[in-house]
Amino acid sequence: MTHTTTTSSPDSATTCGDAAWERLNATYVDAAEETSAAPPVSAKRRFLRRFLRSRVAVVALLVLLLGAAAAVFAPALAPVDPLAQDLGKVLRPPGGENLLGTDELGRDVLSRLLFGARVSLLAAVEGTAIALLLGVLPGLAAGYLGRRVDRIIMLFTDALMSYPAIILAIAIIGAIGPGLTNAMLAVGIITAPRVVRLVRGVVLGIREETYIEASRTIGTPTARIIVRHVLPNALAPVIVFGSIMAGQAMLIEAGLSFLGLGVQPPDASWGSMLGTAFRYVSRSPTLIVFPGLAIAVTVLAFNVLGDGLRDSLGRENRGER
Amino acid sequence: MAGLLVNRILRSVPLVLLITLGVYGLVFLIPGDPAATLAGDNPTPEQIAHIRQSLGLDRPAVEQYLGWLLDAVRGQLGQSLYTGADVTGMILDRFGVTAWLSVLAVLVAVVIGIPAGVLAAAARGSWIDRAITVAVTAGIAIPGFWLGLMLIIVFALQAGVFPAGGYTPISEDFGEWLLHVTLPAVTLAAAPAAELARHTRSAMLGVLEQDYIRSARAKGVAEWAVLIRHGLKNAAGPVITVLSFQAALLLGGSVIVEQIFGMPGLGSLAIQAVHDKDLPVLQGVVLVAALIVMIINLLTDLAYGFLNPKVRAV
Amino acid sequence: MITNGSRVEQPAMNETSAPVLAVEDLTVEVPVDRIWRPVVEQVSFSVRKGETLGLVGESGSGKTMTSLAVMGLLSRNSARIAHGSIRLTGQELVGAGRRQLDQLRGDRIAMIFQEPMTSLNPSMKIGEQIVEAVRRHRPVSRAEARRRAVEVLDLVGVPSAASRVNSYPHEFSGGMRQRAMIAMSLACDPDVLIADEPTTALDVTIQAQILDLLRQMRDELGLALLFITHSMGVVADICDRVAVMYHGQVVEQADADDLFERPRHPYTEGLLRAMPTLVVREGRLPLIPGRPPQATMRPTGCAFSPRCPYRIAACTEVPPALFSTGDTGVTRCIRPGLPLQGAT
Repeated sequence: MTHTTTTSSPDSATTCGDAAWERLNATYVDAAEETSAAPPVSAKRRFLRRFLRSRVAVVALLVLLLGAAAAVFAPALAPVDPLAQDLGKVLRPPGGENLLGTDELGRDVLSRLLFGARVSLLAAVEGTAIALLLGVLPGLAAGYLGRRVDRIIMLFTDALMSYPAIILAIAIIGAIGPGLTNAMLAVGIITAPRVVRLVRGVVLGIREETYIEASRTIGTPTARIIVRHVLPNALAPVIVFGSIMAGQAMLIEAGLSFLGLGVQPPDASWGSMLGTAFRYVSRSPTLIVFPGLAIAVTVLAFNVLGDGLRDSLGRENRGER
Repeated sequence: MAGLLVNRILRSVPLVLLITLGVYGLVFLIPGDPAATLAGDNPTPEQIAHIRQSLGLDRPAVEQYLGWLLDAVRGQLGQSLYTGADVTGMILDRFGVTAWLSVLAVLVAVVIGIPAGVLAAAARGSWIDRAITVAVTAGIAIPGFWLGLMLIIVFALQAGVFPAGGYTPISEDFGEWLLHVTLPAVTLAAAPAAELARHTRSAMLGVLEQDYIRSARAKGVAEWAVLIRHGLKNAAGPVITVLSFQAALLLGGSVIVEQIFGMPGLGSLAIQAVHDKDLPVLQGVVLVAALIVMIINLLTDLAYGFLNPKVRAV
Repeated sequence: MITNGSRVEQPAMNETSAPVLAVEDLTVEVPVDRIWRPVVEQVSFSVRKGETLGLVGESGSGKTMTSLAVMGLLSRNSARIAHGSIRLTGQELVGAGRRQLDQLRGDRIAMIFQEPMTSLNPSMKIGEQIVEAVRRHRPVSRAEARRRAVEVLDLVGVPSAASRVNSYPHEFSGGMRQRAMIAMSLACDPDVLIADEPTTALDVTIQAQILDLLRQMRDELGLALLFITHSMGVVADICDRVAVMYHGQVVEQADADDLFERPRHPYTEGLLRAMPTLVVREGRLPLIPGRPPQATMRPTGCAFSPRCPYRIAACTEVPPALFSTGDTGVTRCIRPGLPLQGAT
């Protein structure tokens, strides 16, 4: 930065000192040009490098992949049919023939956990997907169009956010009836306003950037600007949010299924397993340990992954210290 | 300050209207003929007609809503479809349980979360910071109801210190009330305490880097006073935002906690209403919950004004 | 010419009055990749009552680190005093506990900072912030402390001080805030005031006012003033003595008049040449070519040698020791006899 002013040295070449300074200036300018010619690192590679460097985030990703694999290959992995009842061996403690014990109908807990992973993970993804589906478009519109559209959309999101999430979810289920799909719809509806706010915030941030301004002045249609410029920029924060959201969706689903408002028997999610285990808590306390652990670990993984993604996708690496 | 309050209340009128519209709109989410659905299995035509008339479903939608809203403003939330009881009365009966539980849980969360966050920020990078961060991460990921069950196993079933469930009103026996409400409050407070600690820590870290913190140290202010008077007070804005958000979430979380500990609060009322297909009760609970959240938000704005001299001046 | 410079380990000290603040052989280290490396090395200087010592250098030269070390404000995890001594009216500060330092800070030794906009607590009234300093160090009532607050605000030229004590910082202009900072630092009548670039963030006219105020306070209250700046113009304006820092070391120290007339270190010459006028310019010194080496990486030999136009082979071989120049000056250059050009 300093080399731009060096030529304006006031009284040049009058003493030996001056000549010496001038010579040095020349070498400095060369050096500056050399250093600035370093090859640019692509954004994708920088993201990957940063992400892989944060070990916990990588572990979280592996945990989630493991969970997904368990869900997909549950039929092959499960030692027995998760629905097979055996009233001769109910509420067995862990160990022996049934690694994690049996439930109140003599069903194998490990098998039910593996199949439960299908429901729980699917529910998390479904709830998040619905929230994004409902939230992205209004968020874009509010942020990009501004003015009255913004005010109306924000009024609606404010209203939706005024209901305590679980109570609203319960009310929606009360109206449309219990069941996993309805529960996930409710989760989607109650989280959509946060997506709206997030996307709106991102759009407000980049709307004033020069290149958007430039596209607008040469008459590019609004829809095209949004698809070409705004959406790609909103992608990173939405992905980060999506990961953390999936954890939250899983928690809410677990809560709703625990209350018997989500997945219906004989199918089971980790939440509904806890719901039934609760009734036998005094006779078989271990029954509630494993589904709860499964939920906690998965939600933790979603959160840590989200944090890791945010740190690696961020423009500045303030979080790296 | 008074101006800020009036301004804020006037601006929330459209929001309140929209919230009530949403609550009333629940009836339109019901698939098919709402009256027939709400009447339960194998209803007689008379039962359906009765429900239709009782909910005003035979009138035009706008008229239905306005009628319901006017009643609600007068404190009349209709009759239970299941028991025929007055919904307002049902809610008032149970309101105290949820309110006490929530207030206590917020207190626990504040008392644990904020000092933990301040401590973690002050000891940044140390083992204390790391231990608190681990606890926070766990607190956010652990499902509240699971924690509740574990607490029941350990403290009620094994140690026998606290009752596993039930409720005694505070007016009857304070000691019993405290015993009954401790485990639920701790359960409910875990997640908000963790969130509060996390956000307090990050807000404090931001503030502690500020020049005025260095100024305070330069005049020899004791470390605790630097942290509290100069640090926490300036970090309070984001902390209060999180607190109000968490308080609203906590109101939702109480539904599950009440269920676990068998407490007769608004949450268990709502769940009962879902099972009974008792729409007016459900609407009443949602409306009251939303209004409480609005009041929390209003108080938050006032707290902002109180803490930030720049806002207050406006 | 080298012959008339003799090796000394410490700057010669004038014995007319004992220094209020004496820093000797101070070395401060910061961790780089878990290894402690020096960013301030063997720095010695002293300030007497009523005297102003300028600590001059580019950003990263270690001048702020030095001042924070003197104040005991280095954050424990990110910097440490490796050795050396800091004596405040004879009392050793290196190794003193937090409690002991807290008692001295704001009382015997005070500091003002570069950014008056951010150096005051935004959520506390100006008066309260001064009262806090007073009550921390004096067993006085709140009302008495308040009176003192009004008094010092008045002293530093805040108009209608009696009502302005109730203002919040955001209601003050930049210049007024710096006056308030000065008032706060003077509230307990300290022996030493450290001013870290106190005028850099201010408008030119305000800068002059604040410099005038500091000079006046120094003379009236008999302060020992340690003035940290990157600007030779400011040095010329206010300092009696100057210590020039480069790469964590004092490379030259002399009376201000001598230094301006006849610099003994090529870096000082560069600084003087970089001084466009006496008007203070914001930012770095523009005219010395090259960059200072990274604070934690020391070249072999003289740290300035890569940028030095007078470099000879010997410069890159051994780190230069301090050579005394005249009565009170020292230079860290093996060619102290160079015909360097002063400010004209």
